[in-house]
Amino acid sequence: MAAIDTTVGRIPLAPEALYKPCDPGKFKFETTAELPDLTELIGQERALEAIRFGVGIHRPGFNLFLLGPGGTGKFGAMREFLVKRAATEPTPDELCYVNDFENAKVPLALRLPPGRGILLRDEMDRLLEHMQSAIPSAFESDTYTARKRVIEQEVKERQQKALDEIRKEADEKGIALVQTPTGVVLAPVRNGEILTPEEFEKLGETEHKQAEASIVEMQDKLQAALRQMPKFEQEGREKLRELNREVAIFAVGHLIDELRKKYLDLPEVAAFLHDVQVDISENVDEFLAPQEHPLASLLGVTPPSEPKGPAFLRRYRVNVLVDHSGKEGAPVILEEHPTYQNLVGQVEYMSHLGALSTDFTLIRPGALHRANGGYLLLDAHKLLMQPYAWEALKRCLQTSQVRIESLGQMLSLVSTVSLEPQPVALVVKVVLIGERYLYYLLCSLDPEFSELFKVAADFEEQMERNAESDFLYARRIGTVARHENLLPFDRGAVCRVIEQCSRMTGDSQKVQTRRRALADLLREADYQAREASRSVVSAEDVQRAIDAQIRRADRIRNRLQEEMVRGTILIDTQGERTGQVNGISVIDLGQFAFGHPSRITARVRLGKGEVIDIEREVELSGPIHSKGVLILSGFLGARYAADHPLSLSASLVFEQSYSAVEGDSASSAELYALLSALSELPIRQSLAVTGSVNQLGQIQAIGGVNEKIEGFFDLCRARGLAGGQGVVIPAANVRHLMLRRDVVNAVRDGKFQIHAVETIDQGIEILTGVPAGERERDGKFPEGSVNGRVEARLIDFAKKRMAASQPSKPGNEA
Amino acid sequence: MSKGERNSVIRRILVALDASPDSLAALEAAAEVAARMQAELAGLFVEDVELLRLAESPHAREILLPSATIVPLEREGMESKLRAHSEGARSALATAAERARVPWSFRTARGHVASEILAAVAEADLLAMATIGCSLGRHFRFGSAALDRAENALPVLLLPARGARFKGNLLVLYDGSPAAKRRISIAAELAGAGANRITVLIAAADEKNAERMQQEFEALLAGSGAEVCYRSFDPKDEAALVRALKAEREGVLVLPGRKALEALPDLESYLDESEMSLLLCGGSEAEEE
Repeated sequence: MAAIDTTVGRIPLAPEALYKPCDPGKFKFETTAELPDLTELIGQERALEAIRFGVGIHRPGFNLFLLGPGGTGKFGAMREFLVKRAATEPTPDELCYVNDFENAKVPLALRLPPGRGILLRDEMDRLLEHMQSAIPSAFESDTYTARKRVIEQEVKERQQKALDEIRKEADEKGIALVQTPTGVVLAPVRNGEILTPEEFEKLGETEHKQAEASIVEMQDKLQAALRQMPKFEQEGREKLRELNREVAIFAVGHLIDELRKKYLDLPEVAAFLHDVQVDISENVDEFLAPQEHPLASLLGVTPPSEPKGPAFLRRYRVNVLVDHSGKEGAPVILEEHPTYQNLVGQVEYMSHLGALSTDFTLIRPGALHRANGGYLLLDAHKLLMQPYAWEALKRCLQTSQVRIESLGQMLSLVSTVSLEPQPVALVVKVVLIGERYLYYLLCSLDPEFSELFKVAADFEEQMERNAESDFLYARRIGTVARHENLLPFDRGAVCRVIEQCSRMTGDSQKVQTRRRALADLLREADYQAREASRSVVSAEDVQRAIDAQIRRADRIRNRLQEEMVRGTILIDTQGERTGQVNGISVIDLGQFAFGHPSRITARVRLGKGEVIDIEREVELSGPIHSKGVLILSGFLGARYAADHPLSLSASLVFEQSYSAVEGDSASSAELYALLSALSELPIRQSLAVTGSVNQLGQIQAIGGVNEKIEGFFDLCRARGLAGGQGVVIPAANVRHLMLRRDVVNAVRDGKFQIHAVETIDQGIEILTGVPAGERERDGKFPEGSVNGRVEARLIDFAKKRMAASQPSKPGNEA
Repeated sequence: MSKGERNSVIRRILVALDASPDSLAALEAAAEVAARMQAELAGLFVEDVELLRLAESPHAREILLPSATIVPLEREGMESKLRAHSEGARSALATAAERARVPWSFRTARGHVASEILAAVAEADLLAMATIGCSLGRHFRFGSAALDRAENALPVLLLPARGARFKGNLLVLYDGSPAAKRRISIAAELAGAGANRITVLIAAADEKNAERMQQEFEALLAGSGAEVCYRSFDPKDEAALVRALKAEREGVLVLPGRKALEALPDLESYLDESEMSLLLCGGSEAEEE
C-alpha cells in the first residue's frame, strides 16, 4: 500500500498509473517472422503438471478432467501432449467380432495384434469365395454321386427287400398286395387274379379261415415292415450327412487348416477357425442349395437379394471393428459427437423385404472401442447433453469393459431380437474437457465422478505480465501468424496486442492466456493490415481491429449514452447536489462490456434507524447489493451513533433503473449520498463513484474498473470535458487500470481525473470539498466537517425521537 | 393314330391323373408343354373297378400310408376316396391349365385303368403320364403292355415323379434311320413352339458318318429357329451315351419305344435316377418300317 499512498486522496492519479504500456524497445526483433515457434502453452504450468501426472499414472480412476474457460487451449494442448506420448506407446490389439456358432446371439470378440484383423477378414473372404465353388464342385464329382447313389440305393434296397420278403411270403400264401389311393390292401388271389367277395365266400371253411389268417398275419408283418421304413430312411440320411461332412472337409478342410496354422499363436482365432470348419461340414447343404429366395417362385417376382450377401455365408465372415493397420503407437481419439451409440457402439439393423434383421457383421464400434489401449478425449458439456452417455461412460470405466447394448433394448422400447455382443476388456485413459462449473457441479452432484476422474488440470485464464511473458507472448503471436498464414506483426503491433490482452484480464499486471481470443484479435488485425495494403501488421492495425470490435458491439452503449446526453436518463455531470451521487455499473453483453452511469439518491428523515433500499423492497436487488446496503447501517451506527439510538430513516434508490441491480460496487456511492443527505453538503456531480465499502468505512476493490471509468468519461466527453470531471475509484483497483488511450490523454491534458481512495472519508472530501474530520480529543468530530455535521444531525434525530417517545405530562394536556 | 395331321400339330394332350404326387408333378410338366404348343389339356381320372370290388370283401383291411395304421376297407369308403381324388385331380388340372393359359377338360371314368386310358388316347395327340417308381403293391394303372399299345398310337411323354419340369432342352438320339428322322420332326415341332435348344446325340461309328448325319439333321431342321448342338458317340459305346446325357443334366430325351431301352441297360438305369423326361415315339417307327 505504501507505493500507492502517493496517489491516494485528493491528488488525482498520474497518467502513468492509468495504463501499463508495453515498450517495443525491449524487443530485439523487427517482426514476429524472426521468432521461433512456440507450441507449448504459456502460463499453464499447474495444468501441464497435472496432465503429465494424470497421463503418466496407470491406476484405475486416474482419468483427467481439464477445467477452465473456453479458448485457453485445453483441448489443443492435451491432444498435442497425448499424440506425442501415444507415439511412444505400444499399438494395442485390434478388435473383431465373429459368429459364435453355438449361440449366434452372443457374437465373440477376438483380439488380434495390429494389422492381423484385416488380414484375417480378407483371408476369410477369400476362403468363402473359394468354398462357394469348391464345395459344389466336390459334390458334383462322380465319386460323390456314386457314393450318394450307393447310400440311396442301400436304403431303397433295404426297403425293397423288406417289402419283397413280405410280397414273396404273401404270394406263397396266396395273398396279393394292392395299392389304393391311401394305402395298401391285402387280398386273396387265385391263379393270379384277386378273388371277388363272392369267390372268397365260396371257399371252403378251412381254406377261408386259412386265407383270413394269412391276411391278418401278412398285415401284421407288412405293418411292422412299414414302420421300419422311416428308420431306414433316417439311417440313410445319417450316412448321407456323414458323407457330406467328409466331402466338405475334403473340399475345404486343407484351406482352413492352412489358415489355422497362421493363427496358432492366437488360440481364440484358431478355435474360431475350427468352429468354422465344423459348422461348414454340418451345414454343407447351404452351399449346395440354390440361392434364391423361397418366396420367389410363390410370388412370381424376383425379390431383392440380401444386402450383405446370403446369411449362411455372412456367419463365417469377420467384422473388424478396430483396425490399427499401418498405425504406430496408441490411439488418441476425439469423439466430437459423444452420443450413447457413438461411445459404446451399436448393433445396426438392415431392412430386407420389409423386415429388420441383424447379425454380428452389423456391430459398429464406439469411441471407447477405438480408443481402447489409448486415450479418449471428450467435451464434458456435449457428453452430459447426450441422454445416457454419461452413465454409459461411467459404467464402462467402472467395469473396465465395453458392452454394446441398444438403448431401445435397455429401455425396453423395442422388442426386436437383437445381439448381445461379448463385452470387451477396456483399458483407456479418458480426458474430459469442460468449464469449471461443470467440474464443480459433477463433484458435488455425482459421487462417482470423483472416483473416476481423480486428476483435475485447472487451466488459468491469465498469467503474470513481465518481460519474460511478454517475449513468450511475442513468440506465441508469431506462431499463430505463421500457422494461420497471417502477416507478420511488427514490434509495435506485438506490444499493442499484449496491452489489449492485459486489458482483457482487467488487470495491468496480468495478461490473458486464452488462445482463441488472441487468435481472433490477430486475425482481425491481419484483416485490417491487408485492407490497408500493408505487408506487416502494425500497432495501428491492431488498434483499428480493437476499435472495430467495439464498434460492432456498442449499439446499446451508444443508445444509452445518447439518452443521457438528451436528458432522457437524468445524469448530471456538472454542478452539485445534496443526497445525489453518480454511481457506475457495468453492463456485460458477453463479447462486450461497458460502464453505465446511474444516479443514486438518498433521502433522510427521523426514524428508527433503518436504511431502506428501495431496490430491495421491490425485489430488484440481488443479495450482494442488499448486503452492501445493510453494511451502511452498520457503518452509520458504529461511527455516529455508538452512544445514542440511530434515529434515522433513510431511503436509497438507483434512479431510472428498471431491472435488477446486483453487486456491491455502488455501496460506497450510496454511503456518499447518505452522508451528503445527512450533512446537507452537496456532492460534485462532475464526479462518479465506484467501490464497495465495509463497516469500517474502508473502500474495497470492485470489478470492471476500466469499463466504469470509460463509461463516465464517454458521457462527459459527449457533453464536453470541462476539466473538473472524473471518477473516484478504490485504491485497490489502481493496479487494474488499463484505460483507453483517449482517457489517458484526457487525464494527461488535465481534462479528466481519476481519484483513488482507501476510505470513505477520503472519498467524501473529494466529492464535497469539505474535510471529513476526525474525532478530536473530546471525542467529537470537528464542527463543520462532514462527519461533524452528520453526527450532529443524527444526535438531533435521536433527541427528537426521544422527545417524541416520552409520554406527555398530565398538566400539559389541559 | 391318324398320322399326318396329329404328327404335325399337337393340339390335345391327354394327362392320366390319379391325384398322387407323381401324377400331379407330371401335370405341371404337361401344362408347360401345352402352353408352348397352345394345346388343350385333357385330364382323365380312372376310378379303378378292381379296387372297388376289393373293398366289397367283408374282411378287407387297408394299411394306411405312411403311418401303417390298419383300418377296415369298405366300398363306400373307397368310392368316397376315389371321388375325393378325382376332385383333387380336376382342381389341380384346372389350376395348372389356367396358369399355363390353355384350354382344358376333365373326365372321370370308371373301369380298368389301362383300358380307359387306351380308349382315351384315340382323341389325343400326346399322352403325358408320370413314370412309375418304387411301389408297394400290384399296379392296375398301366402295365408295360398297355404302354406298348399306347406308344404305338401316339407319342408318350413320361415324366419323372419329382422335379418333372419341361425345361425346353430336347435331346434327340439320331442314328440316321427313318424312325429317327421322324423323331426329329416331333422334336422340331416342340422346339419351334418354344425356341428350344435341341441337343442331337449322333450315334456314328466314325467322324465321317457323324459329319454326314449332322448335315442331314441340319437339313431336316432348316428353318426351325431352334438352337442346335451336336454330340456324337460310338453306338457300341453305351457309356459314352450316358456321359453325353449327364453333360446335359436335364431336358426331354426323345427315344424310340420303351423296348429301345431294354437294349440299353446302363441308359435305363441312369434314366431311373435322373430327372430326365422321356418322349417315346415308338409307334411311328413300326409304321415307317
